[in-house]
Amino acid sequence: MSWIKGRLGAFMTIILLTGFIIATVIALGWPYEARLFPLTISLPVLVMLVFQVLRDLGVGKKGDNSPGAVMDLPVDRDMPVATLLRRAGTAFGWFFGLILGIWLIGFVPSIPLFVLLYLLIQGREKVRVALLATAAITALQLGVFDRVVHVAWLEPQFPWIQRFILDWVGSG
Amino acid sequence: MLEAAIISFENLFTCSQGCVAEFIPVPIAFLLFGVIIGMILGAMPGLGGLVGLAILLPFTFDMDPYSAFAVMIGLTAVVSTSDTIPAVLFGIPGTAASQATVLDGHPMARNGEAGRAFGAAYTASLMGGLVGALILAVSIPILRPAVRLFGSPEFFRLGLLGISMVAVLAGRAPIKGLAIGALGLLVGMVGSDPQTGTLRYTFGNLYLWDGIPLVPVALGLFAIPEIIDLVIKGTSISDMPKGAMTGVSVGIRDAFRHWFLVLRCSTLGVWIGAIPGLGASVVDWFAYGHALQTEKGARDTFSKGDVRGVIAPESANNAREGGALIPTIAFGVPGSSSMALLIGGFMIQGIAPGPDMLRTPAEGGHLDLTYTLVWSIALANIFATGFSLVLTNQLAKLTNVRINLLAPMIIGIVVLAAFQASRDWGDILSLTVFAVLGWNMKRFGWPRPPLILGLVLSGILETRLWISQLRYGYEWMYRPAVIIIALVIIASLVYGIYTTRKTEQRPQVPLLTKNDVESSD
Repeated sequence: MSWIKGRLGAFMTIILLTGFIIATVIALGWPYEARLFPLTISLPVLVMLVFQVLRDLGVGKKGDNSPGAVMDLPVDRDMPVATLLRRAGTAFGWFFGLILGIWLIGFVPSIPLFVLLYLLIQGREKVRVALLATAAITALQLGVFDRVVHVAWLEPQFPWIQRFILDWVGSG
Repeated sequence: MLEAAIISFENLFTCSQGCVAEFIPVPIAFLLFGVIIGMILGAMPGLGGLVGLAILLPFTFDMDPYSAFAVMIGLTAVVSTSDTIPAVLFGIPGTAASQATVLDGHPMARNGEAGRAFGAAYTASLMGGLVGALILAVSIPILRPAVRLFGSPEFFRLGLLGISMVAVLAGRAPIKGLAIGALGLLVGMVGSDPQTGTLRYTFGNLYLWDGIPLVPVALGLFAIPEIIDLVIKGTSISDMPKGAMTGVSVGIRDAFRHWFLVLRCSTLGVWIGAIPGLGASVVDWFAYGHALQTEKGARDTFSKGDVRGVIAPESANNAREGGALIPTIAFGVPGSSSMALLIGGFMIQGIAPGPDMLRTPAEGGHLDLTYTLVWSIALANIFATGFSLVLTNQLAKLTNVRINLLAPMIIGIVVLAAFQASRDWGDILSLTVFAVLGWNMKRFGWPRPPLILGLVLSGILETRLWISQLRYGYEWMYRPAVIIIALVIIASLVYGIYTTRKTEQRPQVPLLTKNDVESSD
């Protein structure tokens, strides 16, 4: 178990390696002009990624995985993995829920509904605060994106709620 | 050339005397209106100056040219000032030009230094904007022949120079950096191949025919993972108590203390802005990479909350607007997408950008209008900095608001912003895919900035290489500017390897404190 835990870094490398292999194989079927650039890039990277997988699996020289080894925003690594995964699952769950809501009932009702539900359930905020925040995001969405920028909202699976709101505000 | 520049600089004042009389008071009011709209749009991810100009353009029909250009320039010149707000507070790039600001601005906010980050960013933006305006004023006669020297071979080499920044942004994990940079290049190749029209990596999906837009990718890679991480942590953005937040004045002093960095990055910003096709998406990365390569101890402290990592991109992205006006005015070739709309403004006013813009009114030209544009950039930046500084302390307090209150609103705005790219389901899907990828990259220690750089430069590199090869054969490699840029790339890589080795050899040092920065100067 600890062997696997110490080599979790290889997970991302293997996914990338798989992605590059697929990209290379697909590119081989294109005309010369179309495949030259993708292959020039992907072939050397494939070799590099194989080296990186070996490094991550502990074969040969260990790569530099210390904090700050890469130029990116810092990550808090003090949290236990189980807690991290549970909280990440919840956070991504809300995000995916919003995306699903947009697909099902459309942008216009989904975003205010997401804000309201998140604040009440996840944030455990007072109803007054949640309603105020929902009103603010609704005003922004309908005031700026709908009335000023004239966004053409996508047609969702169940469009009647979105149509009703847009008709009600006079922009349907 | 020097003589031409001096004459041009003198013209800025002599020719403007006439303008000033007409410029005050009405165009100042229009300028202020443009500045306020520009600041609101810059602070709202996904909107930006392009949307603002598109909305404003129809209203300029009934305006005189001075008022019309005051409002338009006021709007475009300050978007890069207020786009710092979401970048620093939430790790969300307000526009493409503030992507690099996230890397050090957001860690500063988390360290309780949001006020300092804002102070430094706004001052650097002001200085950058003024340098941009000044360089625009003095360099129009000089840069006309210089910009003409740039053909496809030079563009290709500049693209390579940008890609060489990947080596810099990779930190001490070069394989990871190069692999992610390559992934960015491949993502940039999605869509129709410029040579044969072959559809690459589109999988029969119509959305992918035009390629994956930058906005959902950048928001997915940076904004959503950052918010998710803050939600996981469950605290406010900054862990510091309110009293520990350092003030704006420290940041202002930081920007003045690093005046040479501001000057270098502003000049870089003007040049990148003056080259059509490069523009906003890369200028901040070029400046960030330059600062990383040249600033003392930067490899130890950048991306952990070093104020110099905020100053460099902020001075460059404001200076870029001055640069973007050079080809717009001199050739009628837009230096950026905003400038393309500005040309629309010229058309509405019945003015043709080009040589006429460099002749005095007595010669039948519009030099007075050109210098009105210069003054507008300078004044807009001054107004924007003034407004921003007034608001900074209040904005910095947002870092102490509990994240569960902010998160749903930010996620909602990010999704709306991503949807603005092409207003297709694909934008939402791209945002989701890159959000998951970005969070995993961050967790597993893979650098995200090279992906953005690769994506932005992919099209430039491939198209320009093919054009160069077809037009010049292998002769393009011997063009003087191509050789000079190649030498710059080699020097930059050699210096990068040297400084990385030097950093690896010495023990890791903690973050630069204000005192360290002061003593290093």
